[in-house]
Amino acid sequence: MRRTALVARAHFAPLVLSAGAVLLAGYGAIASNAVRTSVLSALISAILVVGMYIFIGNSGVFSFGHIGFMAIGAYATAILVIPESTKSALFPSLPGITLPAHVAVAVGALLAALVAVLIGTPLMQLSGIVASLGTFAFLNITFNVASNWESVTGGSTGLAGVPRAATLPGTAAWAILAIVSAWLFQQTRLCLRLRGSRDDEDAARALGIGISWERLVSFVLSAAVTGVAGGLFALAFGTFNPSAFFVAATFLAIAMLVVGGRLSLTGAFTGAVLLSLLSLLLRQVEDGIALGIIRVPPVRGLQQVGVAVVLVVVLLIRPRGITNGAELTWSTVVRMRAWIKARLRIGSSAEPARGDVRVAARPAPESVGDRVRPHGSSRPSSTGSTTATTGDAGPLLAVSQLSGGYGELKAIRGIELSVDDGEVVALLGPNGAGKTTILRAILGFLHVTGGDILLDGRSILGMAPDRVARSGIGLVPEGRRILGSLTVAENLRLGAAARRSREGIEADLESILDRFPVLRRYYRGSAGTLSGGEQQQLAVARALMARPRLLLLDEPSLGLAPVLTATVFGILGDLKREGVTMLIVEQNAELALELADRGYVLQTGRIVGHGSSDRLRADRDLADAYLGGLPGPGDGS
Amino acid sequence: MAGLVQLVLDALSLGSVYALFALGVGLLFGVMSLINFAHGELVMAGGYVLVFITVPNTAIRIGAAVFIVVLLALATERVAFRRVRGAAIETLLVTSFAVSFFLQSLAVVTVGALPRSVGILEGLRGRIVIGDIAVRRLDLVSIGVTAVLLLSLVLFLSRTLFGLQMRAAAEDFFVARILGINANRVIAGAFAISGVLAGVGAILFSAQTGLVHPAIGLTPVLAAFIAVIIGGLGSLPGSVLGAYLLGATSVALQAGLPLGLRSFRDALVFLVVVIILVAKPDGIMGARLQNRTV
Repeated sequence: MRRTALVARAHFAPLVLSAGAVLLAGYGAIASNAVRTSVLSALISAILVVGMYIFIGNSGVFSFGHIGFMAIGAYATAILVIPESTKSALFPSLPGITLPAHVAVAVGALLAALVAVLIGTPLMQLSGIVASLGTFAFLNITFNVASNWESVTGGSTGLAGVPRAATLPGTAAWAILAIVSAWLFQQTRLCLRLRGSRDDEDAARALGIGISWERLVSFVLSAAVTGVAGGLFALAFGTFNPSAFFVAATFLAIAMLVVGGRLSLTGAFTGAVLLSLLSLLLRQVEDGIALGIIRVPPVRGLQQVGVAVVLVVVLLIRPRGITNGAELTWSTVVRMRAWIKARLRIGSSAEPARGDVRVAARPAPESVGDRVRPHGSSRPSSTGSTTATTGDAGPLLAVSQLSGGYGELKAIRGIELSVDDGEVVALLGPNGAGKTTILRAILGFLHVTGGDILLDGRSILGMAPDRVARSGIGLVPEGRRILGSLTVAENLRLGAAARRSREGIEADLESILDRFPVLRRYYRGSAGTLSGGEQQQLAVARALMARPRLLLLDEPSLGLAPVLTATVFGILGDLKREGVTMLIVEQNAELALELADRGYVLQTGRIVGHGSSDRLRADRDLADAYLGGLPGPGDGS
Repeated sequence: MAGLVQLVLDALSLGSVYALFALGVGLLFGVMSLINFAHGELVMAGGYVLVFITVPNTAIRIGAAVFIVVLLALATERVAFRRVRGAAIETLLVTSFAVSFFLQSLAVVTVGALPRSVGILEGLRGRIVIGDIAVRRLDLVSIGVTAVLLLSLVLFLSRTLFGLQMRAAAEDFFVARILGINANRVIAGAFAISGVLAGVGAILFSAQTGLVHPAIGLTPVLAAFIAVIIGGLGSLPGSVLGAYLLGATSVALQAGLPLGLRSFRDALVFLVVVIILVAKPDGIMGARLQNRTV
């Protein structure tokens, strides 16, 4: 008994979905004729969408061609079940075999699978997006063939006289088979590998994880299930023509999958049933309805417009669909029950404790004026030739109580740091400590959940990254990221894109080319052909072309040979002497502290120490604990 | 001989119109990784403008068609694509599919599903006779107009600062932003250019087919996709080359196939595409897709 319960919980989603299919069929059996047809078509849609999910949901690759497999299933089934008398009268060119209806559906599914092997073998070698477009071409081909292969498909008039053998119980049984196949497939190791590649195809390929085979297997299984839906479609409606299997049907099926949530079986099934109901409703409006005395006239195409609007809205506000990509589990039900109970209780006792929550929250932000000096850390007197651009001598950059991260994950918490005009400050710490995250936050790329970032006393929080850049913050990104398809000259010209005034750009270009002679040598050449060290120089030069008031450097020594690292840091030293303000993230702590006036040490998203470079170097505890010992210059990381 | 010249011209003419569509799709893919299904509906919209604006002055009709298509392109960006910018490539793909289908259905609701005839550039239906070769004027105009547009686009991208910014954004959107390049402007600019290409393409396409209906955008967008795939996703010269290859293949099959098989031409074109892709999975001029995060 206990064991049964455990098994039931482990396979909760397919059990509930199968029960849903049975309930739906039961409802259809007792309802009117018109509703029965709609229920039948909803069940067939569910099989279709579950079939598409097997490929799209697991591989992450969209297919616009599955309706083509549905067409193959429909035509094959129809040809195999149309009675001989009808055939000889209407379609004399068709083969004379007739099979029992559900055997024919199975044969149709096999045929769809066979075609999937043929077209999938080349298509699945391609990158995901190209494969998607390939499937769209396949859809057009099946339509083209169905419309023109008159002796088999009846051309654009289609086939008729198919016995309407699709019963509610029979269709529900196929639906359960589809659900169970999809569920069992997604438990396989093969499918787990496929799902693993879903999020990062490039990484998977780079690691040499071939996923073409896994994709092909899911493509073929998925085509077979879709073929079943096609066969049942033929048996449910009796007549059809190629236009039933084209863009409109593809669109509706994709809408069902995406609205429900393309990443889970639960989503696929739910979306199919929901949108079937919606389009049934809209179709009634299309035919014209009477609302009291107002008669809404019939509007053709309204159903499609409605579904398109629903799909766009879901994509914009909930791109992973209603289920958000999750399967229905036992614990979801438990949580939902608790949530509903809690709601009911609050409803009855007039919302207690709201005020307390607010008091417990962070204190209201102080006025901007108060926050220019964010913290009382002992700032050393600023070095370098600084003439503060603003009246008061506040820091150029002040980060206060900054928290934020990626999605649910909080990568940095309560960060307090400042950079004075003309100062060089280093951010140190082990991999993953949040150094680059701080830079991304300053640049406007991070979802910040609390705190503020002031540039010259004005908040730049929430600004778009390009506006942050235009307000005077430059970046030398990790991995250099020079624009390799452009020339060195074009890279430098783009560096000045952030400048408000076009004046002095030519003069700056000259002085930069004097500073970086190697860039002058390859000025008209493609930036992609430069060596690593030359590219790093170009990245620095490009950032300088913007005349940034604050230059952020992300791992400038990464991937460079020691000699080249020395060259780059030599240049940075020159810049420092000329008064360029820098915030530098660097794995090589020794190098960074040699250059910097001050440093901050980060660990797991928090600042755990800061002080002058000399102090940080002398503090062996800090060094050992957080930097993993000071590597010698050139050790890299 | 005359037959061969006519075939080459047919191929160039068809390839030219395809090239306009392919560039429009390729440009948006480059700048924001968007595969734009709705590009076909821009072509449809251009066709309908020509149907409904019936002033005698052809220049005004052409201008209106291009202008309205550009506005529509910008509107799709503002309403739908801006909100999913930076989302997964699949989300962008499905969004454009939804926008495409929405516009198509909207056309069915407002103007009906039946085809309408478009009378545009009817003066070009005749042929010029040079020696023993009779050349359709419309073919020459299509080839010429496309050549001029391609050249202008090349000059714009290589000689203007805005064009340079667009190329930078296409190569590495993250870097474009940290350099202070205005992302909204660059992307809106790309949509506007894509609209001009679709508008001009719509005029030539309508002149060739003489018809417009809500689903007319399918042929252009499919041609553009195939051209972009075989040329190499993300490479603009590749898109153009792919378009001319596709035009040539279609014309060659149309001429070379026995009568009974001609209606399967598109299926055979697809077969050729698959063979090309098996040989060169990244397309003829394709590079590996770059890091396009943010």
